Amino acid sequence: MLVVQNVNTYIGRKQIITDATFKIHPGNIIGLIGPNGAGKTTLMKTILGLTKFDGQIRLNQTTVTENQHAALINVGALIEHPAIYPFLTGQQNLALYAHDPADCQRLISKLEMTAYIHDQAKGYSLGMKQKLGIAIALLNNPQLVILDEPMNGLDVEATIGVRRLIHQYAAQGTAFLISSHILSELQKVMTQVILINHGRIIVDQPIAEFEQLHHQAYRLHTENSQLTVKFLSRHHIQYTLDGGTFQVNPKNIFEIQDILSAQHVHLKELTPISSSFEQIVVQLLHQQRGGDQHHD
Amino acid sequence: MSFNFYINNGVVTSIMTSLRAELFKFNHQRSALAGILILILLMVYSVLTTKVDSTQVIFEFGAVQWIPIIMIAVGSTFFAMEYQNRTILILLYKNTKRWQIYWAKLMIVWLYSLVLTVIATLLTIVLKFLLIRTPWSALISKHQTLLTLLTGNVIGTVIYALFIVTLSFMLIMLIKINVAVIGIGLALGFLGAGISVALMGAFTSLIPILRWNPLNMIFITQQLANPAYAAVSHLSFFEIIGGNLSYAAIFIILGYGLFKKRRI
Repeated sequence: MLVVQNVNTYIGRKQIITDATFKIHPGNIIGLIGPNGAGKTTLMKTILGLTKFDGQIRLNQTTVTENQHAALINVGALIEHPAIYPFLTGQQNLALYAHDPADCQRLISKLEMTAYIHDQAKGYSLGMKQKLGIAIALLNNPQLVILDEPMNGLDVEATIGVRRLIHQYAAQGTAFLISSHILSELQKVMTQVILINHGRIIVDQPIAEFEQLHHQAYRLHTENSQLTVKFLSRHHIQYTLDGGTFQVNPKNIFEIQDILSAQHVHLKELTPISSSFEQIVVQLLHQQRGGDQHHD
Repeated sequence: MSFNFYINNGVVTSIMTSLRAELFKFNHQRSALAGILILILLMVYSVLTTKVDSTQVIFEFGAVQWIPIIMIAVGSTFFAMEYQNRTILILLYKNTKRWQIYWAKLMIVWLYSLVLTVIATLLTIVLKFLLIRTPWSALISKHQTLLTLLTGNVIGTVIYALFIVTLSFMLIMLIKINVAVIGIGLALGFLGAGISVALMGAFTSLIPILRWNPLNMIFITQQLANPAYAAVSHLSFFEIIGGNLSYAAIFIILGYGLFKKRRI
């Protein structure tokens, strides 16, 4: 449905996104993850044709450019902050974009906004504004919904409600591209993960595959840490060191054993350790920063 | 008040939809009503503090001067609020043609200047009926009646409003700070004509060039009614109309260019 191919985005002369390539299929819920300034919001704006870019973006085979937005008619978006006219009521804000009054009412009740929907939006709390922004993005049964930090300011009940709504829409074929700093929250909804750092996509995988591939790291304990550091560094093997314990990548464990064995450095421990999703992301970011010599 | 604005054809990009949406937003903004109330208050203030005579009627009890100032404030606020509320983002991605957004806003704000002018004219008629006995047919200057003088000023105000609205849009794209644009509007309204006259007085040899300066365009609000002002503006009837319209076109081109390039 959405094809992003070799996209480079520039703001002024500065390149923010480099060679981004990925696809989103109907019903996919993509979690877009990355540190502050990684380019998440810029990537979202690029898909919406709001920035200068080269490369190709196609939505249902129709090209999106900075000046061609016809394909975006079926795209809903909430970027950075809810786009709300404070002098209009919630209902009027929705009515500005709604094609179908019944769809609009359905969203109001699903997001439990009925009690205040006829009040002027300037009196809304952060959470109420956020829900209205999400409702605007979900109007008219969009094919693709882009949500930038959708859970900002939402209380627990509202968060659960929005999560449920995302699942419902995805089940009907709506695709989502969602960024959030609350990784645990994203983890509950996403079917695929895109990890971005310094404007480059470093991971684009289905969540199950991602967890399987990256879930494990190995704890390494040897009889001589100093020598181990020396040999691992010499062979450009990534590791982290905490006290006397190394953490190494599963793909390197055989090589490490061979190297250390050849140098007569004996292993005291080499065991798999499970990592949380958060830890995996942090590890991947460390690695991408060229942290092969990184010491914690 | 609830307002149903559901778009039945699903094409959000059509010009009519843009105009309807902009009109809907404009009507619900406080500044639209505030502009009307301020205009009425200032006209009444003019009645209370200045000698009431035919000149006051011709200049619509100060409205000829106040309308451009109100317009620059309302115009820039109407565009600035889209950036302030981040609604510009939806507006831009939902529309294929950016010029439609710019054009629709321009039209709505210019139509508002017509509304202000109509209100000022009606109030002038009422105040004249209550306070001045001079008949509409009375000859005031150079064989022109009170009515023709008033009509000239009203037309001049409408054309100058176009100059001002396009200027306010260009300035808000350039400066991006609403308060600064309003400040410039006030300076233009109060000092613009004086500065222009002073400049031309100081550099008489440069009058053929200086008479085209943008500050000089404000004389259209007086000159259409009273051709004697041509001696002050150094522009003929057609030149001052052409000048105003040309500046409006330049402001539209520059303003739209800035709007297209503005980062969001």
